[in-house]
Amino acid sequence: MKTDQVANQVLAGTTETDQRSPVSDARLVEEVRAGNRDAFRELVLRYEKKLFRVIHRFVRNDALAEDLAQETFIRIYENLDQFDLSRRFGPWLFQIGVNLTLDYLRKKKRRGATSLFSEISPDKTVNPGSADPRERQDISEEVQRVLQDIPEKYRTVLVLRDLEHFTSAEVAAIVNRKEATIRWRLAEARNRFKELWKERMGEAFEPRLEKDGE
Amino acid sequence: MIMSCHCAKNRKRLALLVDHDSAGKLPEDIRRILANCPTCREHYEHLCAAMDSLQQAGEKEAVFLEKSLWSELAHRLPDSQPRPSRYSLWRQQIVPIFSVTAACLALLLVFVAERPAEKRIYRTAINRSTSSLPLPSISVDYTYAPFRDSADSRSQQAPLSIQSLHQTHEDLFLRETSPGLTQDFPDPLESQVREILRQRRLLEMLE
Ligand SMILES: [Zn+2]
Repeated sequence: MKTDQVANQVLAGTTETDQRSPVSDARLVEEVRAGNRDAFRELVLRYEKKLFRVIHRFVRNDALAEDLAQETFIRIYENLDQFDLSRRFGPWLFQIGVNLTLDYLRKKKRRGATSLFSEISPDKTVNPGSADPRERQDISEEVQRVLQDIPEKYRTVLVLRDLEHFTSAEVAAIVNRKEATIRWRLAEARNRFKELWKERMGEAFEPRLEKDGE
Repeated sequence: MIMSCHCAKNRKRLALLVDHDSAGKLPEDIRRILANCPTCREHYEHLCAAMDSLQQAGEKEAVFLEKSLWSELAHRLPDSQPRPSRYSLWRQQIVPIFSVTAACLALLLVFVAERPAEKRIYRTAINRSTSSLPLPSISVDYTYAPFRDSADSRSQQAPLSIQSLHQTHEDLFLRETSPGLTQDFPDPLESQVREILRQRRLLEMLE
């Protein structure tokens, strides 16, 4: 199954789990409110994988991503009384998860860490077209460095849309902005990424184009 | 760059079309731009290459949760059940009703306030003419009445003649067309609307 299909199903509250138990998210929320903890377990199982992966995109650390995902579910549980059942549960969960993660990173940055992505190894330039797996591994590091230079509001949209394959409407619901704003930010984010990537790759960028071009 | 190409403007659109390339879904006008403008073409190719690298890195970085969070999470959840609070129930049920009512009232106010001034005066004058204006008492000219000789009691009571009716209409016409006259009979709704409009103008001036 394609990643974006999974993302869509997750946000619509109809994941693979649903095929076995077609209980809607809203129904589960009502049951949790009525005191059924197993219903909350079902919600956790339904969303934990995707939530962990989304958070990991921002923090790039397994243990930290697990902690933040757990914290997200605790916040969700504590605030379930305020959840409006006419809204969709998925975007609300990811909204809380992403906000929590961005808050964590902002605080960390304020405390003195120079980078939002502390796991990045020391600077070095690589050739993205290289066949050497070690060098190819470094492409991820390079991409992370470039992402780090993009302002948070654009980077968040880029990560959610292009790395996690949420639709623009879903990103809009997660970051609580209009869809038109998200499209504008996405275009800006992609253009900024392209400029910074080109700058960072230098001459290594051009030969790749010749190879890929007509 | 071609003479008619708005390259800077195209950058945003091209950035949103990166996904569509492989599926051959590029709109015809964009295909034409890419075929004719080297600047736009280069920008688009660089964009595709950069996004390709981003995707590659994204796939490589994708992680999988190996163990469910539930076992740990179950111990960390608070004991109390998250029941809907009074406030959230109030917010979810009362607020929409209140909002709709307030919106209707606001619409009504705007509708009344937007009516042209002349029409308002006309309407209020007519209303007054039927209820509060006393008809002038003018002596009846029975010579015109065709039922003069009849013993019909209704004809005896009729206080109006053609002239008196003309007089009444003239009074009304004067009241309708002379704003000064209408001020003698202040309409409560009209004065409220005037006050709202005055306050709105004041607010606009302050802003
Ligand atoms: Zn152009």
